[in-house]
Amino acid sequence: MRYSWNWLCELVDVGSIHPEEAADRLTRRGLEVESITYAGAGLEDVVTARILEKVRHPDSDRLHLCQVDDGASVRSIVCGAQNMKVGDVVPLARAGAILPGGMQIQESTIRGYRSMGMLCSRQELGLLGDDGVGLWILGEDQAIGVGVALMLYRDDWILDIASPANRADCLSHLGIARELASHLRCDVALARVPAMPTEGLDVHVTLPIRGCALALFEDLSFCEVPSWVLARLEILGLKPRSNIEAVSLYVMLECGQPLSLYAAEDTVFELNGVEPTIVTDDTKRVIAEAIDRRIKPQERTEAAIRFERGTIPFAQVWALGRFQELVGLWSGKHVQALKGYVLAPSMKREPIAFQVATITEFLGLKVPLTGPVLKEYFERLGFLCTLEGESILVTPPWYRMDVTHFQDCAEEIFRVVGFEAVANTLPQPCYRHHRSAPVIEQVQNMMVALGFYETCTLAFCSHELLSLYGVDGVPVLNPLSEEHAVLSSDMVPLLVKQLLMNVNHHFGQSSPQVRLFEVRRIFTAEGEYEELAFVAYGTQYADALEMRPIDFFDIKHVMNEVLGLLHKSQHYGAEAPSYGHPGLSATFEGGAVGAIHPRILKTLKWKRVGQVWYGRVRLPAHVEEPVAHFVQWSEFPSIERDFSFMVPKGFVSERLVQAALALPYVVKCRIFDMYQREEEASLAVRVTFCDQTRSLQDKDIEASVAQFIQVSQSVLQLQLRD
Amino acid sequence: MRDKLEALGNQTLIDIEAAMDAAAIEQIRLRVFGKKGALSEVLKGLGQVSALERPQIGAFANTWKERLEEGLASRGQICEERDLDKRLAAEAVDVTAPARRLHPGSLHILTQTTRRIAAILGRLGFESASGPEIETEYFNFEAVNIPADHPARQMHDTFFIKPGHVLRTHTSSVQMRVLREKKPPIRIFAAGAVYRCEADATHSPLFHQIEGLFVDKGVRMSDLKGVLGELLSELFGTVKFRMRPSYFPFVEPGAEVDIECFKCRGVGHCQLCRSSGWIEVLGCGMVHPFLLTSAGVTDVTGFALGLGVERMAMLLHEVNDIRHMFQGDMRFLQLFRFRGY
Repeated sequence: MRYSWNWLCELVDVGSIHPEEAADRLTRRGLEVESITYAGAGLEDVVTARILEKVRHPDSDRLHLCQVDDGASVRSIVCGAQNMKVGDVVPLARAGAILPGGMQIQESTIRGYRSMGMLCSRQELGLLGDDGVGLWILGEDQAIGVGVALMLYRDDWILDIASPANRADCLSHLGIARELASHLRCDVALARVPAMPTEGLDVHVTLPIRGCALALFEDLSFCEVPSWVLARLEILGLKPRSNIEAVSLYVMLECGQPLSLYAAEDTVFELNGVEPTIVTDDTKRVIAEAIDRRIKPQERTEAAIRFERGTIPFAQVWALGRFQELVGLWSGKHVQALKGYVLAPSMKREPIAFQVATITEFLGLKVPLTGPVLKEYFERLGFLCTLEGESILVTPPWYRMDVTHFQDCAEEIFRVVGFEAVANTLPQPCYRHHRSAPVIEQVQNMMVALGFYETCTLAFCSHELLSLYGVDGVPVLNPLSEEHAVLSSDMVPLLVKQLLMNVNHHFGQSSPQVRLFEVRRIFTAEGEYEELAFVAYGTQYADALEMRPIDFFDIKHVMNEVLGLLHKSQHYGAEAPSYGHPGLSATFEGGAVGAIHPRILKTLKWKRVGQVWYGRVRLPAHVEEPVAHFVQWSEFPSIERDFSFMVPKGFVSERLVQAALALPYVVKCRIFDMYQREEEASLAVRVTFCDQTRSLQDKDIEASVAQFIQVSQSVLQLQLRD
Repeated sequence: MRDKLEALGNQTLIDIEAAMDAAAIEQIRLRVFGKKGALSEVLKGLGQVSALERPQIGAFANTWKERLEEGLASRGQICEERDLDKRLAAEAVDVTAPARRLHPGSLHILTQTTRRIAAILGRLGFESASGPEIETEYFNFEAVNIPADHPARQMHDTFFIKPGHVLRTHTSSVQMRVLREKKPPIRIFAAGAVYRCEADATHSPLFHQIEGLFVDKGVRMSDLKGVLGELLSELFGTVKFRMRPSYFPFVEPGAEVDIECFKCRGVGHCQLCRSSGWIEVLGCGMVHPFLLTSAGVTDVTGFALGLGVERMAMLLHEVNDIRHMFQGDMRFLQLFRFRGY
């Protein structure tokens, strides 16, 4: 919100402090001054000057040689304009000026004659209303040597202040002035407004409001406002459409209370939130209305911003009185509302009581504050304060609706004494139970060790993308855009998107290597879960003599490592998720791993050779680290037997391994060779037999071997090779 | 007999000299000294030799035997050396050729930053806590003193999921959950994703926050200042900071914390701090009494602090656009190789 420094200075005697210094003090008090700008920027070196002499340039048809008096000296100026005459007062930009448009004025020689500045048009000064006639003629009566910024009422500083959302009172010059006054230990020049009638108007209130004040004026068509008022409103960003609107806006910026003006038809008034009729300078009967409410605005007007924060109760009557006063003052007439209406809650504020010492204790101040000091601080802030021994009773002023608790009072003192007065203490040490690193951290570290880069996706995606993958999600009722319509229940589509972007745009001619992972919350209809997902494309090794692309068993290894970390079973089924390559995908409880279906990649305009690999697994909130127990190993030698089978395509080799492990004496079964042909494959396993108590002989394992062959042939339908 | 021995001995010596590897030596040993070897064959004839000559022939045979064994041993050693040399030569590789290098990886700077801050808070006795990301409106707003008509409700551009449920707009939503579940002393931090309906160079619809909450008997604002001092000096080195009074509905007094701009130290034109000399880093304050009373905890005070992880990461690593964080661009991710926090 913008505030005029000159206006603040009218309300409070700031002495000699500069706006920069005041800004620093306000910021330290919680009223953050975001910027300070000079309202007359570009006009600093432009002054009024009288033309004393004007002769035609001997070497030009259009140029004139002028002698001008700027009050300090007489200067020669070469000027191309035609519309001025001797005696006119015009704006003179002196050498060194940088005009609002950025034009730099320097002393120069134009066709042999020196020119010590430039006479300006309105346009050159960044002002509207230039019809191309030439210089801006200010008339003969205008004093010379006056800064144009001053003349235009722009010799002012604009403070852009972000006040806290609970300080409705600070959305006004009066509010900021009060803050400055309490800091500078002086008073605010608060106008005593004339009374306005509180009855006579018949008002039907159908809006949910806390209070209101209305006044009927018989004739305001004579209303005029001085040009400095209009200039002040303009530099604060407001352009009134009529004189009385200018007065109402001025009142709003002064005290924070928005006013609405209606053309009055009769004395019955419906207060129902209907947009006010536009009041022009010709409107005679006017109803001015001030309401007290807090609503969520539809637009960002100055009034809406104030209603959003909530107006200050009891400010309405004052605002209407001030409106009435200013119309009269600026028009030079006595103005009095005919009828009025007031609805206001009780003005009584409950006092807040606490012990003097609690403030010092609560804030942890370096130096304890005594009762009298606290009393002085509160009184400077406009609070009523009574000391009774060690207890203190404070009553906030009517405009400080935000102060209701002891903590609010403590904050006021914190704002006064500042952060420097607070001691620097550390809470007592606390020895807490240290768990091992959380699951998520362990998984992240593991993925990094396996050569993946952690990424972060936005969780949102389009319905279209999810339906391509056959994945569901949780829709957002008010999404940012179509691209952000759903929270995905699976991160794979989002990670593949990032992978594709990398492959397509960030590797140029070099062969792309992308390995990304993410651990985050995912959303399903049942609830939200932590999940790990990863995607990969490129070669298995970053550097090696034989560079081969990642294959299924590389990516399965990654998943196995994670499952091992989670102490989860590493058994996979051959089913593919909705987006998985049917022959290169495996699923398990809580996850899947494999290659993306080529049809999806084609839709995503994937043009590279090779698979895009993915994996995802749901993470438990906690993993109980199992305690490992000692198991006696066998001291006796083991026997190994190799078996080779012909297996049909699609056979799940793990079934064979499981069958072997179920037999007596079998301690291990390992697949050591696999050879795929068109319709069938050969599979070789090495089975290890061992016993805890003795050395096995061939005859001991005969039964197991026979049973293994029998099961593999009759149950698993495999053919034993010779 | 003598001649036969002599002939066998001399021939074997020639063979030994000619042997080129350990296998050939072994072959000679077997041929000469084996059970049915040449020497045994010759010595079979010892029976026909007269008893008088027998000791001399025997001694002669032993001399040859020793000579041959010596020859086999010494030649054998040479052959073994030769074999090893051959094997070593055969096994040699170009050690300057590239190693079979695995891909490197890294933690995202948001994770790195979160872990840094969590480690500092952990040392100060704060324990990790969490809450849902799809949160009830109650826990996100009402519970932290933001009633429906509160002006602060407009500061949050909220995503709605279904009636009464929103994507949490801040990690402060965890505060009331913890206050209700645990008994003071409470010393927790909650880190995680939060969501707001905005997107530009400095705002992302999803970003991350870390919330700290400390509730106990006699917690003072000076304790907050002390904790901030520890946190900021561990993150930014010795740096001046200030607490500027500000407003957050769930704290009172509330403050924003600025650190002195580490780029310009408050001098001259600076893009980072917009020449103000200060950089805003986090919000904090004393827990609002509303929260404590509605959670049913009495006779305690507390402080809370909340910071944006993206903002911290951007300051610590000088990242110029928040959108880099969420694009998964390998060129960005590779800049921040793993550091073990």
